[in-house]
Amino acid sequence: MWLLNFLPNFVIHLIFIAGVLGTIAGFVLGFIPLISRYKLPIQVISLVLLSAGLWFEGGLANEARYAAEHERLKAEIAIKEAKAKELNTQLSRVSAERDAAITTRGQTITQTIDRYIKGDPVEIVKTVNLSEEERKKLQAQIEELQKAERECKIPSLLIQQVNEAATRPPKVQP
Amino acid sequence: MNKILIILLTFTLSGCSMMPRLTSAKPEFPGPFVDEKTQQMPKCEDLKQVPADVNSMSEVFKIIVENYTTYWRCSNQVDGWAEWYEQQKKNYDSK
Repeated sequence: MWLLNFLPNFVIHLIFIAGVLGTIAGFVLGFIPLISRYKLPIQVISLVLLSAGLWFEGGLANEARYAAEHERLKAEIAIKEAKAKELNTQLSRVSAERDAAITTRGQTITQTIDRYIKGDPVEIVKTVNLSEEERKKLQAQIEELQKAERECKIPSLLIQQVNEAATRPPKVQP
Repeated sequence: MNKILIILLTFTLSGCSMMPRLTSAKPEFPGPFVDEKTQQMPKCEDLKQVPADVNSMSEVFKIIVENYTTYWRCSNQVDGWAEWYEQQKKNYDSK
């Protein structure tokens, strides 16, 4: 209610009080000679004042209620925003940690492949913490891998298909 | 007089319907995942292709491993967006 911004509160209270007093005078105290002479104008003006006063008083009460609600919501939103910021920071950190772990894992696997391909199987199995039986098994696996690496040719058709699978599929237009 | 009273009563009651509008804040999408330089959502990287002249099996498998890593990094990003949405929704919906 923009009008409430221009009128001071006491003016609104005065309008309301004037309306109440005028209405009492116009409708109840009509027997007094001075009032009875102007009865109709007093009744009309006082009813207009009473209506306007009531309207503004209602507006004031509403404004106060909504101002309080506004403040409550503002405080609630501030808490939620702070919490959202905290959650963002936390998630950002967790996501970065996960990303670093994934990258490291990929690098470790690539390095392990390199080590198995280029290293001496006997020396490699000495460095791992395994039982004798498991070491023999790993050594055999590394030797098998190195043999495959030396002897296996990669068919070009296979490469084509692998590359096809790794190509980003075309976007479907909506 | 009665007509005046009705008009005045209607005018008076209309004051009750005057309500200021309240709006609530919403989180800015996409939270912590926006690229700081471009201010846009980062896209998933393209997967690596195996060179046509590759002559060892291990090279092929290393590229496959790198592609798996790329996939998991992208998956982490997408999962992060979903997680972010769930967290923010829960936060803003809570009383």
